[in-house]
Amino acid sequence: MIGADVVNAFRVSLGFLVVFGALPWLVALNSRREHALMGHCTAFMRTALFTEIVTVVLGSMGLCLPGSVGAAYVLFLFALMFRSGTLRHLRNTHWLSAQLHKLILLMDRRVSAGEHLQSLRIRYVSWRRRFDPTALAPFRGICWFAVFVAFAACFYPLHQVRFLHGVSYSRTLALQKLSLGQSSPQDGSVALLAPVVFLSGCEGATVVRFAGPLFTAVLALTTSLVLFQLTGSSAIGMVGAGLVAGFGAFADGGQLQADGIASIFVLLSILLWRASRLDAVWSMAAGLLIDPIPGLGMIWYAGIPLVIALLVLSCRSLSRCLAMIRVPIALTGIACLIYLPTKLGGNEGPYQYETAARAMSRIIRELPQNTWLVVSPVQELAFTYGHGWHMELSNFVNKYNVDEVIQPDFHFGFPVMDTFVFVEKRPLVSRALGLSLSELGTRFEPAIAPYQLRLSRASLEFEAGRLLAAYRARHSDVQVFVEDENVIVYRIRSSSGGVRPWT
Amino acid sequence: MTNWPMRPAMPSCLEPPADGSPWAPPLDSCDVVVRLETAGITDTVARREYGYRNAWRLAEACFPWLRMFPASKVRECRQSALVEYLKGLSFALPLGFCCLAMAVFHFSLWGGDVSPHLAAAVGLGTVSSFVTTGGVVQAMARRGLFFLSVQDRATGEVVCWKWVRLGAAWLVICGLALVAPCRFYHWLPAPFDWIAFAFHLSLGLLWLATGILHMLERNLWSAAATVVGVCSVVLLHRRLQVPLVDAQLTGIAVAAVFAFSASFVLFRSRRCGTSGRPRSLSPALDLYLTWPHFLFGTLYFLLIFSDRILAWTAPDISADSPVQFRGDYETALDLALIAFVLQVGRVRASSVTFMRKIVRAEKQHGIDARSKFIHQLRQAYGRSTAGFVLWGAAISVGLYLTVSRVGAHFNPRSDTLLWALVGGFLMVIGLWNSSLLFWLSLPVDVVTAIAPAVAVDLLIGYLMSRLITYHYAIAGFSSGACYFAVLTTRNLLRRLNSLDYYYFSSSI
Repeated sequence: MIGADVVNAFRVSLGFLVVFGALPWLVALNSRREHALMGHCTAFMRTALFTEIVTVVLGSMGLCLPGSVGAAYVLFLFALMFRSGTLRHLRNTHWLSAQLHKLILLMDRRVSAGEHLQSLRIRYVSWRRRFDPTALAPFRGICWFAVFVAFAACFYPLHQVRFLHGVSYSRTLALQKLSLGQSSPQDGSVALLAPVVFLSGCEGATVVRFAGPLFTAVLALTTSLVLFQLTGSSAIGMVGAGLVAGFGAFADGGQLQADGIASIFVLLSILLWRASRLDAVWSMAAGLLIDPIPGLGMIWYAGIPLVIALLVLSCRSLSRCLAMIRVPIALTGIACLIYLPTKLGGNEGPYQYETAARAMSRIIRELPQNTWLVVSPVQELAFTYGHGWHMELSNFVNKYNVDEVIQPDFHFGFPVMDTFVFVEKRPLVSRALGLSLSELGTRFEPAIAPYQLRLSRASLEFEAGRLLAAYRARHSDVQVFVEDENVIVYRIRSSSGGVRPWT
Repeated sequence: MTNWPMRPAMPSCLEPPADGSPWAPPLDSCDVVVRLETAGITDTVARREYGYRNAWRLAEACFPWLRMFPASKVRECRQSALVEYLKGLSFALPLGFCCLAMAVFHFSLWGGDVSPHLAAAVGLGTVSSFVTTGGVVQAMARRGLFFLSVQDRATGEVVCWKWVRLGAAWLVICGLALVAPCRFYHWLPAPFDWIAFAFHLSLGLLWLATGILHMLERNLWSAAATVVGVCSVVLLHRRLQVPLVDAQLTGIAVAAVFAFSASFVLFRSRRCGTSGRPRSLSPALDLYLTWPHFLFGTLYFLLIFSDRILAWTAPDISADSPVQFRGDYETALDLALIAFVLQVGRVRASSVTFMRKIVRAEKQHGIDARSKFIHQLRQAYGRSTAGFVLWGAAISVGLYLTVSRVGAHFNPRSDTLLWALVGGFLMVIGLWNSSLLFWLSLPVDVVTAIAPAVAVDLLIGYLMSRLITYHYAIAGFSSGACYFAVLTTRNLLRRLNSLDYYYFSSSI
């Protein structure tokens, strides 16, 4: 874990809290709802659904950019405020004059800092009085548990830069494309994260890395709320949340993917069913937008709380038993979130070496945008997109040969200031790679097939290593940027004095 | 032969002043009553001292005699239209000197042949300095001119320096508010964000200083400050081999100090011979009286510059930073700026002429000829506006044709230039209307026109620059300017229908 990772986690959390915390709170303030809990759940669902639809629609036009998304949010809030009557004062000129008069009086009075603090304190006390402590008591433990889940699930991304799932790379690439106004395949789970990218100022890879754990915490919270609603017991809610967190650690390594995120909205639809059928249907629609073809993961995530609720409702004595073991289950869930992802990932892989991912992160952080080129397998493209240029290792190997690069007057001639070539000294071997195409099964993708087969990958890496060794023997512009027992990253400085025609 | 009534015992307040100062015969007996009341001749005084039943009777008796006195000539300080036009153009003298320096030395007080990152930093700093100080300068001019016009020069000076201090604090706050997101979102790589901040601060101080000089109608001093600044840059960069950015920041600071010193000297010279202590002013009153002017100043520069910001931030996946200075876009806008300056010079001359016409028409028409008075001035407004249209069209077409023929060296995009010329022309119409609305003390009408215009500018500019290319961000400016022109024309025409009332109320 390095300082930059902690800062990035903080930035993403801040963006996430604004999009999925502050905005729903504003929506709840401008919506009429008798039940506070239902009101906040509805506001969260509506905000998420609005975000989903807006980013997908704007993305299809290449307009999913900070300005347009921000304007959409402002319009959304204004529409809600208009409907709720909050804006009616603005049309009242007498009210406006009175406000101006108050401001003038305030300026003329020159209130001291002490008086300001006193006034703030009074406001804070009156705000606190709006909440009934006894009504909030059952949720205190649940909320703390969700916070701990978030911290525990962040343990892996704070220590490792690489992803555990192949789909995370494609989601990262899609998110980068979407947030840069490029055409990209529509991915509902990614569309939700575009505003977080804009607010946090972090690149897609970092947002995907840290948003997964935060969604895990939201899922745990939703599970406990659903169970509380169905069984009336916060202890049962805690048990369900602990089990879901544990399952999330097993299935996704604590980094929730599309099916897990969609489960949040499926569970919300159950929660909202009694209060408003329409909102429940909208919530289900949001879930389907995020993951249109529900898989086994979603069935598990949504099934665990429902089965618990059924069991508890059919056998009341089970409720007491579960309540007694709620703390061990919760602690086990948190322990799983800390321990399992590192075991799942192993020391390296399954899709790239940690050294390669860290080298990429360093290049992005340290070098000016679009002044460098990375030659590597396809996984690094998710990190480079929008920051620099990327060339597939297979293309590089096919384009050059040893006889050519060994010439003293040969130069690669890439129109960038720095070229980084990633070579695996020990070609990656992991469960994600296969020995033959048939072994890959559904994981087979024609575009990246050369990197999915162990022999093919080893051959490419060997050839790249040979090319660079030959080039380095006759050229002085090559440096080793990063090296360990698995990977070596060469840095080739431009011989054209930093001319950047690509930019 | 006409039978004149006997001359009554006439109060001296009605007769022409003995010192020959300007005097106009009354329009009717109502006018005479007003003059009598102003001199303290009430019904009681009229009855006791002049033997009339009341002031009305006295006025009716005096009116025929007063008509016989010839009006003494009002010594109007009339200047030819050309002089007024040149005075109107004089605000652009510093800009002209900067262009000259650019042509001779290939750099100026700011800008020059610099790297893309530096150009973006300087551009951001310049735009933010204009937007930040625009409102402060307007508010300062509003309050300062008021006190200077009522001969309270001490208070006028104090007010100006107070606004300068406020402006400096506002500059720092806005500058830091600009640097913070620059850092957080990596809009500009370090240290370019701090360079942008330095330009924002130094240029902002220069605008505050030249704002005072402009208020005092001493634009030649502003030009002198620019020359001094440019000379400092040349000396530091060419002779002493100081890096260009450092030399420019020093040059701007020197120009600002020069302009502040000149303002100080001018204020002191005006105060010579007048006594009186400055009165203490309530900040609340300042806020109440100047908020529309402050908003107008800020929104005006937002309207002018928001298309540039939109063009510079248009997403470009191959760009080396999120904010990109667009040279070709800037060239087209700079050329269109020439046409804008030449047109806007007319605003001052036309406003002064229009006000003279109001004064003349007021004397020509009696109180019962209100509709004639309004009709005459609406016609005058229509003629002036038509003049703006013809003048603007001639200049814009002339410049466009000139650039098309001989402007290969600049190589601007013709569509961007065309949009910019149209926008500039419409902007001048809006400014002409705004000038009259300000004369009539109706600043809120201007603010309610410019605020939606800025929104239109941002909306259209954003969509065009994101959906087509950044070159079309200028369409936002043209649309905003069009909206501004339409709204101000509508507001002004409404007010012209009751011009007598607004003219009267603006003078009290």
